[in-house]
Amino acid sequence: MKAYNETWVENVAAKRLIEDWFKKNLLGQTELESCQSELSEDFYDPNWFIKIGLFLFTGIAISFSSGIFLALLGVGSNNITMGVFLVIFSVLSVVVLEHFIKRNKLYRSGIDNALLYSAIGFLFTGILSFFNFDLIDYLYPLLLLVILIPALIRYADPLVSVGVFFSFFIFVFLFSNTFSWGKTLLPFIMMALSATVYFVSKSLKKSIYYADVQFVIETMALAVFYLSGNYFVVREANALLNNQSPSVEIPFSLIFWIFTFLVPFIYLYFGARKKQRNAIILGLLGLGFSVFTYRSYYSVMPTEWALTLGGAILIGVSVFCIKYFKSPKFNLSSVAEEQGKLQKLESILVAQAFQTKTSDDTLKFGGGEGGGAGADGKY
Amino acid sequence: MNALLDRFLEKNIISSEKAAQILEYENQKPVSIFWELRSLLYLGISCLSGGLGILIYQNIDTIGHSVLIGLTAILCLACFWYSYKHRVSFTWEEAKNVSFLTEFSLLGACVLFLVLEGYLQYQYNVFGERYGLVTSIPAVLFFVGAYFFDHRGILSMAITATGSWLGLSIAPKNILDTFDVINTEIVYAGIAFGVLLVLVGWLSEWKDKKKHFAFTYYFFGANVAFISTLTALFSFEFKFLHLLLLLTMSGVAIFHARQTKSYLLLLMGVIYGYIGFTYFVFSNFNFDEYLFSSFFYFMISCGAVVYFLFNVKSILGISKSKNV
Repeated sequence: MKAYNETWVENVAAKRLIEDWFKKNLLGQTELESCQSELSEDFYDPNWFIKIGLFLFTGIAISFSSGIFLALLGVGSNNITMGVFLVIFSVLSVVVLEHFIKRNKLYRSGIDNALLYSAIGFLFTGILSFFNFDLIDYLYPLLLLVILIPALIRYADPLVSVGVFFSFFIFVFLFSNTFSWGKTLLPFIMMALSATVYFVSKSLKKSIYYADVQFVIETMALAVFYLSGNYFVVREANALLNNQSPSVEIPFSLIFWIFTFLVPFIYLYFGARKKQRNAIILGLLGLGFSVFTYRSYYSVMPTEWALTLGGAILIGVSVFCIKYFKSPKFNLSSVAEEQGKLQKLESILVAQAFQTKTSDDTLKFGGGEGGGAGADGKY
Repeated sequence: MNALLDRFLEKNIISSEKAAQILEYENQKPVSIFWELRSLLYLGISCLSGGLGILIYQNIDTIGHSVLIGLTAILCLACFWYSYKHRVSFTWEEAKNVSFLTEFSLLGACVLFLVLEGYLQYQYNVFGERYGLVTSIPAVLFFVGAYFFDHRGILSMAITATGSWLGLSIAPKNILDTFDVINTEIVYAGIAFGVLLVLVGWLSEWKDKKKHFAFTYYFFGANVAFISTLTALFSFEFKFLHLLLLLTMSGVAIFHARQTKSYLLLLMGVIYGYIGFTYFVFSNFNFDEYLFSSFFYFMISCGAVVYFLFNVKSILGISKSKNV
């Protein structure tokens, strides 16, 4: 049922733990080595840059090799023939994928990801072309869901889990819209379903093979739960569905206002208590979006003042928190877990962001930079 | 995790005290919100500077330029002073324990310096037509700051400033108005500049002077050099010579991976080299008549690249150690 060697996957995760213990001086050198020899795995595990390259070039190779046959068929050929060919490509991709996983010990190496995604894409468009691309709208996500779930179970790919999650919720959204009561209760349906998804995923036995997938799904469930209770989202979506412009006050508005401001704090609280980073991040993002929601309907002050004051408050709070959490409190710490690659990227991103900003302010200076672009290219 | 510890205990790899220690560590290990707080700080800075920018723009008549320039200068100096006061002593290694406030005040000082200089030039035309001077002052200042305070962000600002200085001093002024940016001098200067940056990065790695700066130099240098060479290949005569140059650079990048086991340059070399090679092939053979051969070209060439990347370690003779 599982495409990758499950023991190896578990050992990969265990090795990461052991290396962390070794860095924190909880294990000695000899213990580290004997632990590592205990956890044997032989996956092909290249550098991240190599993985990116493999994904890119495998993708191009697949699309052109399928392109040859589609070009042979010609564009004008009927949908059934095209569908048959697409389904054949999908089967071929899966065969090649399985073969490579077995023979070359691939595990999320770029090649297998590209093959898996194209197999799914081929099958989806293939089946659609049997129906002449003419289905009731909610059947599209349902079809995708039917294809994706077996792929998720077998390959446990994080991106596939994103697909599963979204196709499920888009299906629910479109399907409830076909009933008038479904339209009214939509936010509650979405909230109930995302909560269910979250708790079901939490209660499932933590198998390391599916750990990443469960993490992704739980994170998205938290996000959807917040968004479907958010006043702004509910009101604007409601207006969109009923063709109202501008949007009008919604029923039960008080309940949604409570959700809008309560949920982020719940996320922050439980995120810190249960040591869940995703809940903490979503709590912070949610809080920002809640402020935006409030400002969209009640003008408190002009934008520039809001920006200035908000910015000052944000700076104050984050500087305070960085100092305050230096020694860990409430399971939180402001010390970096490990110094490394992210910092390199940060320096480049930040410097570029600030530099372009200043060159906009200064006209002549900025003109100079634009002229340099021929040579500098990337900036 | 408990199962893992039990397994090690059973095989007598670790003692039971060690296991208890590890369990204790895992239970009280805090969540690191380092990146979250840092992002919040960046967001706050962007909001504040954006908001202040609008406010100043709206009220420029009541505030007056000289007051603003004075304030900016004072703030800039204050930031510099703060980071100087709290600096860690100079080292050719990566400086440890730099406080984030020092880091951010240095960044703020440099950004404010750019604002100040641009403002002076825009409002009072202090530097006149000497644009080269306008761009070279921050470049020099940032390089000194980056090395003295050990700040990678300032280093990339310094490199960018040098790039715009170079672009300006080579391009005659009228080119800026005629949008004809692809001229020979700029492109070749870009190639030279990129190669120079890569060399500096390589030197700092080889001589072990600020080794951690190498990534920044490589990133900018390789991108500038490759993009400039591609531009030359696309727009100038002697296509074959430019292709040779490009492929040589790709070769160097690939060889570099063999020496250092870092693969950023290798990936860039492969992608840019592939783009250039494909362009050359298509500009010399008329694929319109042979549509299928173009499909086969992509299929086979991409397959070859995948084969190369997959076996890169054995092809380059890099020992198969993990965690590179």
